[in-house]
Amino acid sequence: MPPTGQPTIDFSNISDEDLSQMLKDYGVSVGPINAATRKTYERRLVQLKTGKLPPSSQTPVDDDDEEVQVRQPEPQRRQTSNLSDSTQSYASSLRDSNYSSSSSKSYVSSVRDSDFSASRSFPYSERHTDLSPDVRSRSSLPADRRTPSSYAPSSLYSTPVKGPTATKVSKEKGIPLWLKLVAVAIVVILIYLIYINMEPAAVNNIPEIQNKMEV
Amino acid sequence: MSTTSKKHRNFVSEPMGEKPVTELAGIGDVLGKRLIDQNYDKAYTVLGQFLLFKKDEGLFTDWLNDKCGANSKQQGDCYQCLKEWCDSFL
Repeated sequence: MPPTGQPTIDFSNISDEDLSQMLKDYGVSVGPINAATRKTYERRLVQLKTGKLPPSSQTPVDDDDEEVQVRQPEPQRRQTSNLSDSTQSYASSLRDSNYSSSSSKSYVSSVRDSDFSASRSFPYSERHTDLSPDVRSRSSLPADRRTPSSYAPSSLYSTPVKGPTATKVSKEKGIPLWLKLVAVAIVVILIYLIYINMEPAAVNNIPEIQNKMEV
Repeated sequence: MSTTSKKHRNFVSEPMGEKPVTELAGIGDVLGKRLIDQNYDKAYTVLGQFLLFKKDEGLFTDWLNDKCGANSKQQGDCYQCLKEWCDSFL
């Protein structure tokens, strides 16, 4: 069942080695090409050459086993689910991890760098349709979020909505960095004041008996 | 600690053995049937495909979408499930 209705380049006649080499030229980490994988690799090469995203070949089914639960990001880039309320909690924890690493990065780059799989986790971002223009202008940036995997091109599974959703959420809900630093500074000052005003260690005024005599 | 579905946790907690493909996270009854119809009846057959793609997310999810029409969330769930299983048992 061919996935696309439009005329596509046909790679079914080239040899496995040629197909493999062409994919490697695009930076794809190519596994064995056999009957099970050939079709997928051919599709991948077509996508790379045309830069297009093919539609789904079968009827999408919203059939899943059970309810979705919120997934928190871990340092090793776990995927998160994407309920509208969970995005906010995710965004806040995302910001925390960002600020602890490097506060100099912008929101967009930090979103991009910290968790590539995060942007995958917003496939239901179609709900977030009211993007502001400046956020929309950033939509091209997270396109390379899949680079750690194997291929360079950017527009494979992405919709530009995914990236901006993360940035949009972080913008809406974010506490500015300077405000956080001010809060930390206030806490430090308070601790310092407490320390300064602490009572010295208790002094024992009871005189010692030098000569203890047995009675 | 990351919060994942019960199905995911059940799958990654032990060797998959002869578990059917519907035990994979993201694969429900409808998707499972489509896979079974194409002879991917056991979870390890999908694992085999996953490994053939050298655990590449894009290739595997593309394949999964082509085989059974999984949407991006289901693809991601299945990929993550297999990835974690491999991290523990492979």
